[in-house]
Amino acid sequence: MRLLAPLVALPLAVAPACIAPSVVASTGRSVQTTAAQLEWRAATLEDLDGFFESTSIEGEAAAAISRIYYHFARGGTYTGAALVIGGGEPEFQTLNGNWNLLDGQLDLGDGAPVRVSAATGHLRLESEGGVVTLAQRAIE
Amino acid sequence: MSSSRFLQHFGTLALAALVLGSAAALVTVKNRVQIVVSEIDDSVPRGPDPVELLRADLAEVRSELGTAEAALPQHLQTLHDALDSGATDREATLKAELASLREQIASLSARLEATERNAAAARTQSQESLQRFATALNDLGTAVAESTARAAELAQRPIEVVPVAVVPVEVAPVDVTPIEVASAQPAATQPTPGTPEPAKKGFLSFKVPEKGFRFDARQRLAVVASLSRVGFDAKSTLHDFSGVTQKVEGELTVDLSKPGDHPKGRIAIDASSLDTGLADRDEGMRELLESETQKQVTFKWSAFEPSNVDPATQTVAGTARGKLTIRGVTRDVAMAVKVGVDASKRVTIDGETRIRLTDFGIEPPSQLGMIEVEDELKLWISLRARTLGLVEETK
Repeated sequence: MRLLAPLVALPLAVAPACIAPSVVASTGRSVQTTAAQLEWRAATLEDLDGFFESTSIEGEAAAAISRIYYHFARGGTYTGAALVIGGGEPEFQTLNGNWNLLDGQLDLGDGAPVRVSAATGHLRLESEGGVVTLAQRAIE
Repeated sequence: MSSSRFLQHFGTLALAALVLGSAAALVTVKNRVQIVVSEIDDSVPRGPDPVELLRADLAEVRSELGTAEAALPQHLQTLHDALDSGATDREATLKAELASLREQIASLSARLEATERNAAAARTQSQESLQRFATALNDLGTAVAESTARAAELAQRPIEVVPVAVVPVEVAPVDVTPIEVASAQPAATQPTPGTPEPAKKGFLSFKVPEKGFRFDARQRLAVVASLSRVGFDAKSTLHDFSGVTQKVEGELTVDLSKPGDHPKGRIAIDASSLDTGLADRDEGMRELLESETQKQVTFKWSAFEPSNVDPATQTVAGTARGKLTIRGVTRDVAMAVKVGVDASKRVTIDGETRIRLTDFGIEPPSQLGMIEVEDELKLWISLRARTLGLVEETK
């Protein structure tokens, strides 16, 4: 048995050199969103088609809006919902209307066009109050 | 026989009958009618004298005239009385109308005087308001000048850095060390604390509540799991490693400008979700934590000792105290934390502390007596929380 111990200890002693430490750096503890890694381009009419769910909201609007959903129809209509917080009990606000895309500006019908970009399976809407990144979802 | 011929015969006969009738009538009455023409004889009585009749009539007229003359004063008096009555009624009506007009004039005069008084008072008030406004402007100018001078003075002073107090854990010896906070971004665009936020515009056609996050108000904060992580760093004879989870939930209630004033909250993680990067190690960790029955690791926050509160940069540093529960065992812990507000007006909370596994009844893992995990490990949090609204309570 005493002969076997060094044989067992040997690989264990060598192992630390093979397995790198996996400690999270103190500067890397915060969550980094993956949306920034997407390759964004100007959105086209084909990008605005289907159901989207927000994956990140940045800017002042993020303090009051928890989640945003949009469904864009090719016919030019849309419906949207946002879970609004910070004003009492959380509440869903819903929208319905017509959308129009012109020169990278998405008009949702309120006279305040927003800049819209697209990446694979994603949309990004930039408005004065913030930036929302939406991921396309399947309607199940 | 024609009709004209018959009429001729009939006319002739009628004429003859008329002549005969007239002759007969003359014969009958010729002896009975006598016409006498003679001079008037005064001795013979005749009918009433027309003169007398006229005299009588005259006398009667005079009599009636006398009667009428006698009654005339009375009639005149009656007429006069009637006229007097009408004049009296008219006079009374005119007097009433005159009195009414006088009352109206008096009322208008009173209103005119009141209006004049009000106008005078308004002029006086306006003058006083203008005077006060001018005084306030002068005071404001003075205050601004003093503030500017004070700001310039403060800007030239060196900043005093207050060291973070290190407080040992009451039950277990916990080494509290300050940490670096990388992601807390002082929001240069944040409004000055104490001033109400302006009404926000809509965002993507949605209406955003006007009352959002405030640094200087007590409010509820909800942990945003998708932007939060909790983990630990452990040392072992094989290599150091971290265990991390994003299955975090919790809610805090605090006034960040007065963080020591009755803060409270609870943060919990899913014990089975801690991921160290090695499936076998994770499995062993779940057995140690008994995550099948003790599903959560919780921290109940009950006190805060601020070492620095800076409303200008909206940052807070200090020591959070509370009770940490692992595997059903609860111990008091103190955690050094730094709090900030990011550009999205979410509160960033970063902190860490050291704990001993044995304090929670957990024997450090060991394999073959040669690969051992140190008893002490570093527990850290990196949370993002958004406001759920202001609260009025003080405790």
